Amino acid sequence: MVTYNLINRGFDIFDYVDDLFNRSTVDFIHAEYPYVQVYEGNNEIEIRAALPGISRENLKIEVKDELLTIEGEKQSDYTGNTYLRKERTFGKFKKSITLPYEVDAGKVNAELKDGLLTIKMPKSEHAMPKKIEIK
Amino acid sequence: METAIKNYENGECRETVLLPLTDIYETDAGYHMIYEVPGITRENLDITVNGRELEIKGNLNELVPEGKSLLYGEYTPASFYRKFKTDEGVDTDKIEAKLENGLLTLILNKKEEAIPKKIEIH
Repeated sequence: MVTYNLINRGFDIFDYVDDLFNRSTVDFIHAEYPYVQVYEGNNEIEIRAALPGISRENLKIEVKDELLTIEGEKQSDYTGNTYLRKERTFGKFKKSITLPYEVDAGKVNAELKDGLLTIKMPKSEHAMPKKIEIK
Repeated sequence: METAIKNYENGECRETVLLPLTDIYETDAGYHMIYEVPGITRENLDITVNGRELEIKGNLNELVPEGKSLLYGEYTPASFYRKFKTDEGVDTDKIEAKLENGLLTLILNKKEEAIPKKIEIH
Protein backbone atom coordinates (compact mmCIF):
# COMPACT_ATOMS: atom_id res chain seq x y z
CA MET A 1 0.00 0.00 0.00
CA VAL A 2 1.40 3.41 -0.96
CA THR A 3 0.36 6.76 0.46
CA TYR A 4 -0.43 9.39 -2.08
CA ASN A 5 2.17 11.94 -1.21
CA LEU A 6 4.58 14.49 -2.46
CA ILE A 7 6.93 11.98 -4.04
CA ASN A 8 4.17 10.10 -5.85
CA ARG A 9 2.81 13.34 -7.19
CA GLY A 10 6.07 14.27 -8.81
CA PHE A 11 8.37 16.77 -7.23
CA ASP A 12 7.48 20.34 -8.01
CA ILE A 13 9.66 22.75 -6.08
CA PHE A 14 7.14 25.62 -6.32
CA ASP A 15 4.31 23.50 -4.95
CA TYR A 16 6.57 22.25 -2.20
CA VAL A 17 7.55 25.75 -1.10
CA ASP A 18 3.91 26.90 -1.31
CA ASP A 19 2.80 24.01 0.86
CA LEU A 20 5.50 24.76 3.39
CA PHE A 21 4.28 28.32 3.84
CA ASN A 22 0.61 27.46 3.77
CA ARG A 23 1.00 24.69 6.28
CA SER A 24 3.11 26.48 8.83
CA THR A 25 0.28 28.41 10.44
CA VAL A 26 -2.20 25.60 10.76
CA ASP A 27 -0.14 22.45 11.10
CA PHE A 28 1.15 22.79 14.63
CA ILE A 29 -1.51 22.62 17.26
CA HIS A 30 -0.10 22.84 20.75
CA ALA A 31 -3.10 21.57 22.58
CA GLU A 32 -3.86 18.76 24.97
CA TYR A 33 -5.94 15.83 23.75
CA PRO A 34 -8.85 16.04 22.94
CA TYR A 35 -9.11 19.04 20.63
CA VAL A 36 -12.04 21.28 21.48
CA GLN A 37 -14.07 24.15 20.10
CA VAL A 38 -15.67 26.54 22.60
CA TYR A 39 -18.77 28.47 21.56
CA GLU A 40 -20.62 31.03 23.67
CA GLY A 41 -23.91 32.89 23.33
CA ASN A 42 -27.47 33.11 24.70
CA ASN A 43 -26.10 32.73 28.25
CA GLU A 44 -24.82 29.28 27.39
CA ILE A 45 -21.41 27.72 26.68
CA GLU A 46 -21.19 24.93 24.14
CA ILE A 47 -18.05 22.82 23.95
CA ARG A 48 -17.35 20.27 21.25
CA ALA A 49 -14.59 17.73 21.60
CA ALA A 50 -13.35 15.33 18.93
CA LEU A 51 -13.27 11.89 20.55
CA PRO A 52 -13.31 9.24 17.82
CA GLY A 53 -13.51 5.63 18.96
CA ILE A 54 -14.28 6.41 22.60
CA SER A 55 -17.30 4.84 24.25
CA ARG A 56 -19.59 6.49 26.76
CA GLU A 57 -18.44 4.13 29.54
CA ASN A 58 -14.86 5.32 29.20
CA LEU A 59 -15.66 9.00 29.52
CA LYS A 60 -16.16 11.17 32.60
CA ILE A 61 -17.20 14.82 32.59
CA GLU A 62 -17.04 16.99 35.70
CA VAL A 63 -18.00 20.59 36.36
CA LYS A 64 -16.76 22.41 39.42
CA ASP A 65 -17.22 26.17 39.74
CA GLU A 66 -15.70 27.51 36.54
CA LEU A 67 -13.72 24.43 35.61
CA LEU A 68 -14.81 21.71 33.22
CA THR A 69 -12.84 18.46 33.22
CA ILE A 70 -13.04 15.81 30.53
CA GLU A 71 -11.37 12.59 31.56
CA GLY A 72 -11.28 9.23 29.90
CA GLU A 73 -9.48 6.39 28.28
CA LYS A 74 -9.13 5.52 24.65
CA GLN A 75 -8.75 1.79 24.56
CA SER A 76 -6.35 0.29 22.09
CA ASP A 77 -7.88 -1.75 19.28
CA TYR A 78 -4.58 -3.20 18.09
CA THR A 79 -4.72 -6.68 16.66
CA GLY A 80 -1.92 -9.17 16.34
CA ASN A 81 -1.57 -8.53 12.62
CA THR A 82 1.22 -6.78 10.76
CA TYR A 83 0.72 -3.03 10.68
CA LEU A 84 1.64 -1.03 7.61
CA ARG A 85 0.70 2.26 9.25
CA LYS A 86 0.14 3.24 12.85
CA GLU A 87 -0.89 6.85 13.27
CA ARG A 88 -3.61 6.65 15.91
CA THR A 89 -2.76 6.93 19.58
CA PHE A 90 -4.36 5.36 22.64
CA GLY A 91 -4.30 5.82 26.38
CA LYS A 92 -5.67 7.83 29.27
CA PHE A 93 -6.33 11.53 28.98
CA LYS A 94 -7.55 14.40 31.14
CA LYS A 95 -8.22 17.93 30.06
CA SER A 96 -9.54 20.89 32.04
CA ILE A 97 -11.03 23.99 30.52
CA THR A 98 -11.60 27.22 32.44
CA LEU A 99 -15.01 28.56 31.55
CA PRO A 100 -15.65 32.29 31.16
CA TYR A 101 -18.30 32.20 33.90
CA GLU A 102 -19.88 29.90 36.45
CA VAL A 103 -22.38 27.42 35.01
CA ASP A 104 -25.40 25.67 36.47
CA ALA A 105 -23.94 22.20 37.09
CA GLY A 106 -27.42 20.69 37.41
CA LYS A 107 -28.41 21.75 33.90
CA VAL A 108 -25.34 20.56 32.00
CA ASN A 109 -26.23 18.51 28.95
CA ALA A 110 -23.66 16.20 27.32
CA GLU A 111 -24.08 14.11 24.20
CA LEU A 112 -21.66 11.77 22.44
CA LYS A 113 -22.51 11.13 18.81
CA ASP A 114 -20.36 9.97 15.88
CA GLY A 115 -17.19 10.48 17.89
CA LEU A 116 -18.05 14.09 18.69
CA LEU A 117 -18.86 15.15 22.24
CA THR A 118 -21.13 18.16 22.70
CA ILE A 119 -21.49 19.73 26.15
CA LYS A 120 -24.02 22.49 26.71
CA MET A 121 -23.71 24.48 29.93
CA PRO A 122 -26.14 27.25 30.85
CA LYS A 123 -24.91 30.22 32.85
CA SER A 124 -25.65 29.95 36.55
CA GLU A 125 -28.25 32.22 38.12
CA HIS A 126 -25.83 34.24 40.19
CA ALA A 127 -23.44 34.80 37.28
CA MET A 128 -26.25 36.56 35.40
CA PRO A 129 -25.95 40.32 35.21
CA LYS A 130 -28.43 42.19 37.38
CA LYS A 131 -30.06 45.37 36.29
CA ILE A 132 -29.85 48.10 38.84
CA GLU A 133 -32.75 50.46 39.11
CA ILE A 134 -31.93 54.13 39.43
CA LYS A 135 -34.15 55.79 41.97
CA MET B 1 -6.25 15.44 13.26
CA GLU B 2 -3.80 17.19 11.08
CA THR B 3 -4.41 19.99 8.64
CA ALA B 4 -3.11 20.05 5.14
CA ILE B 5 -3.74 21.95 1.97
CA LYS B 6 -5.42 19.91 -0.70
CA ASN B 7 -3.66 20.59 -3.94
CA TYR B 8 -5.57 20.12 -7.15
CA GLU B 9 -3.73 18.89 -10.20
CA ASN B 10 -4.25 22.13 -12.09
CA GLY B 11 -3.07 24.20 -9.16
CA GLU B 12 -6.00 26.58 -9.42
CA CYS B 13 -8.12 25.67 -6.46
CA ARG B 14 -6.83 25.17 -2.93
CA GLU B 15 -8.78 24.04 0.06
CA THR B 16 -7.79 23.33 3.65
CA VAL B 17 -8.56 19.75 4.60
CA LEU B 18 -8.11 17.58 7.67
CA LEU B 19 -6.07 14.41 7.35
CA PRO B 20 -7.74 11.64 9.31
CA LEU B 21 -5.26 9.59 11.34
CA THR B 22 -5.13 6.10 9.88
CA ASP B 23 -4.07 2.64 10.97
CA ILE B 24 -3.61 -0.04 8.32
CA TYR B 25 -2.97 -3.70 8.95
CA GLU B 26 -2.75 -6.73 6.75
CA THR B 27 -4.35 -10.11 7.24
CA ASP B 28 -4.19 -13.13 4.96
CA ALA B 29 -7.53 -12.19 3.40
CA GLY B 30 -7.03 -8.47 2.99
CA TYR B 31 -6.17 -5.07 4.39
CA HIS B 32 -8.00 -3.30 7.19
CA MET B 33 -7.94 0.49 7.35
CA ILE B 34 -9.18 2.44 10.36
CA TYR B 35 -9.70 6.17 9.89
CA GLU B 36 -10.52 8.65 12.66
CA VAL B 37 -13.30 10.87 11.36
CA PRO B 38 -15.08 12.46 14.35
CA GLY B 39 -18.38 14.13 13.53
CA ILE B 40 -18.81 12.45 10.15
CA THR B 41 -22.13 10.79 9.37
CA ARG B 42 -22.93 8.27 6.66
CA GLU B 43 -24.68 10.94 4.56
CA ASN B 44 -21.68 13.23 4.27
CA LEU B 45 -19.02 10.63 3.62
CA ASP B 46 -17.81 9.74 0.14
CA ILE B 47 -15.58 6.77 -0.58
CA THR B 48 -14.46 6.43 -4.18
CA VAL B 49 -12.25 3.91 -5.93
CA ASN B 50 -10.69 4.93 -9.20
CA GLY B 51 -8.39 2.27 -10.55
CA ARG B 52 -5.96 1.76 -7.68
CA GLU B 53 -6.68 5.08 -6.02
CA LEU B 54 -8.85 5.04 -2.95
CA GLU B 55 -10.24 8.40 -1.92
CA ILE B 56 -12.05 9.30 1.29
CA LYS B 57 -13.85 12.59 1.64
CA GLY B 58 -16.01 13.53 4.57
CA ASN B 59 -17.82 16.79 4.90
CA LEU B 60 -17.70 18.00 8.46
CA ASN B 61 -20.71 20.26 8.43
CA GLU B 62 -19.94 21.80 11.75
CA LEU B 63 -21.96 24.94 11.83
CA VAL B 64 -21.61 27.58 14.49
CA PRO B 65 -24.56 26.97 16.83
CA GLU B 66 -27.31 29.53 16.41
CA GLY B 67 -26.90 32.64 18.49
CA LYS B 68 -23.40 31.60 19.58
CA SER B 69 -19.95 32.59 18.48
CA LEU B 70 -16.56 30.89 18.67
CA LEU B 71 -14.60 31.82 21.77
CA TYR B 72 -11.70 29.45 21.35
CA GLY B 73 -10.89 26.77 18.80
CA GLU B 74 -8.33 24.00 18.52
CA TYR B 75 -9.41 22.36 15.31
CA THR B 76 -10.52 23.69 11.95
CA PRO B 77 -14.00 22.46 11.08
CA ALA B 78 -12.94 21.60 7.53
CA SER B 79 -13.55 18.48 5.43
CA PHE B 80 -11.70 15.24 5.93
CA TYR B 81 -9.74 14.06 2.94
CA ARG B 82 -7.28 11.27 2.36
CA LYS B 83 -6.07 9.33 -0.63
CA PHE B 84 -4.24 6.01 -0.71
CA LYS B 85 -2.94 3.87 -3.52
CA THR B 86 -4.04 0.28 -3.06
CA ASP B 87 -1.96 -2.80 -3.62
CA GLU B 88 -2.35 -4.59 -6.96
CA GLY B 89 -3.72 -7.64 -5.18
CA VAL B 90 -6.79 -5.78 -3.85
CA ASP B 91 -10.14 -6.64 -5.36
CA THR B 92 -11.66 -3.15 -5.65
CA ASP B 93 -15.14 -4.59 -6.19
CA LYS B 94 -15.07 -6.14 -2.74
CA ILE B 95 -14.46 -3.25 -0.37
CA GLU B 96 -16.48 -3.22 2.83
CA ALA B 97 -17.06 -0.05 4.86
CA LYS B 98 -18.31 0.49 8.40
CA LEU B 99 -18.81 3.77 10.24
CA GLU B 100 -19.10 3.72 14.01
CA ASN B 101 -18.32 6.20 16.82
CA GLY B 102 -16.36 8.46 14.49
CA LEU B 103 -14.24 5.57 13.21
CA LEU B 104 -14.39 4.48 9.60
CA THR B 105 -13.26 0.92 8.95
CA LEU B 106 -12.56 -0.23 5.41
CA ILE B 107 -11.87 -3.85 4.62
CA LEU B 108 -10.08 -4.32 1.33
CA ASN B 109 -10.33 -7.93 0.30
CA LYS B 110 -7.51 -9.47 -1.68
CA LYS B 111 -8.04 -11.13 -5.04
CA GLU B 112 -8.19 -14.90 -5.00
CA GLU B 113 -4.73 -15.20 -6.53
CA ALA B 114 -3.20 -12.78 -4.00
CA ILE B 115 -4.22 -14.81 -0.97
CA PRO B 116 -1.24 -16.81 0.28
CA LYS B 117 -1.66 -20.56 0.04
CA LYS B 118 -0.19 -22.98 2.46
CA ILE B 119 1.76 -25.81 0.90
CA GLU B 120 1.42 -29.15 2.54
CA ILE B 121 4.58 -31.22 2.96
CA HIS B 122 3.97 -34.83 2.13
